[in-house]
Amino acid sequence: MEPMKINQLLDKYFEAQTNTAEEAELKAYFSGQKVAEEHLPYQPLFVHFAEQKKMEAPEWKPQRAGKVRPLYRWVSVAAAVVLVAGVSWQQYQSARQQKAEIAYHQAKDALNLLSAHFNNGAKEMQHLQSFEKAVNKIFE
Amino acid sequence: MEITMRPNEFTELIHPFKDKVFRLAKRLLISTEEAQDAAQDVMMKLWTKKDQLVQYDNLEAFAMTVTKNHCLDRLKSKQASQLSLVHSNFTEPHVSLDRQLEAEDAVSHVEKMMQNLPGQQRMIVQLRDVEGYEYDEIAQMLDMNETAIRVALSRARKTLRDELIKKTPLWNL
Repeated sequence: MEPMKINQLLDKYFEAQTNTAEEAELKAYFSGQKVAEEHLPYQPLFVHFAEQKKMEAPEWKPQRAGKVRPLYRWVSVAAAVVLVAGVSWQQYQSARQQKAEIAYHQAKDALNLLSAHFNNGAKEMQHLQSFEKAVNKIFE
Repeated sequence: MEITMRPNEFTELIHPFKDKVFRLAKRLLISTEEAQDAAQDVMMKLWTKKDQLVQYDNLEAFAMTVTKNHCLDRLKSKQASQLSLVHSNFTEPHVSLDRQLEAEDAVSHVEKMMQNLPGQQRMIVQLRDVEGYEYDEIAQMLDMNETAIRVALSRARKTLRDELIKKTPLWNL
């Protein structure tokens, strides 16, 4: 290609006025063997662009593979739910047992108190009984 | 009935642009490791939206936009956490007797010059000069108008040219 045409294209290129076809021409020229002495300083630029285009994404890291992750995520959520439910059920149960024990002791104390009073009452009843007997004797 | 996409269908769908996503991420984040993480994050984002992807008329442009936004967010959070952006300095031009060696060195020198361009210019050079996208596609990806893209691209290309000419005074004169 004529050096004059390349100079024109380069001028347009640096003004960002070249179209895709013109840039393809430049890329082809600079990747070829016949680069004029005066254009050599620009060659690394176009060689670099071509090399960059060849770079490929590395393989996916296995621990982050997207295909399995959603499933694992749900399994871990389910496991967490089961764990939390289990622990809180156990706590609920032991709390209920404690409450029941307290209630039992309270009821027992109340019944003891009641029975003590009842026994007192029963003693009085005996007095009442003997009083009644005495009265009956009088009215007989 | 709901249409669900199978993993292998998804892999086929992203195949045409997965390397381009990685290259744009690398252009912005520079580190290969981080670019790989970013590319995988982008694919995960697409996977979570997999049942809507068929609606996009230009899925590739959408993927590139997602990549750009994701990488810029990463850079922002890096700056916020006081981690310095990976930024390499120019190596001083040195005289080599072997022209072939010097040419190879010049190519890696271009990479260093690219890394010193502002982020937006870097993206535009990547999308136009490396990937060969049309201006209207780049406009869609970067949410910019075509004139602004040409202005930034011209500025970036001239910066690269000036550095190259500085680097090779002996060849040019």
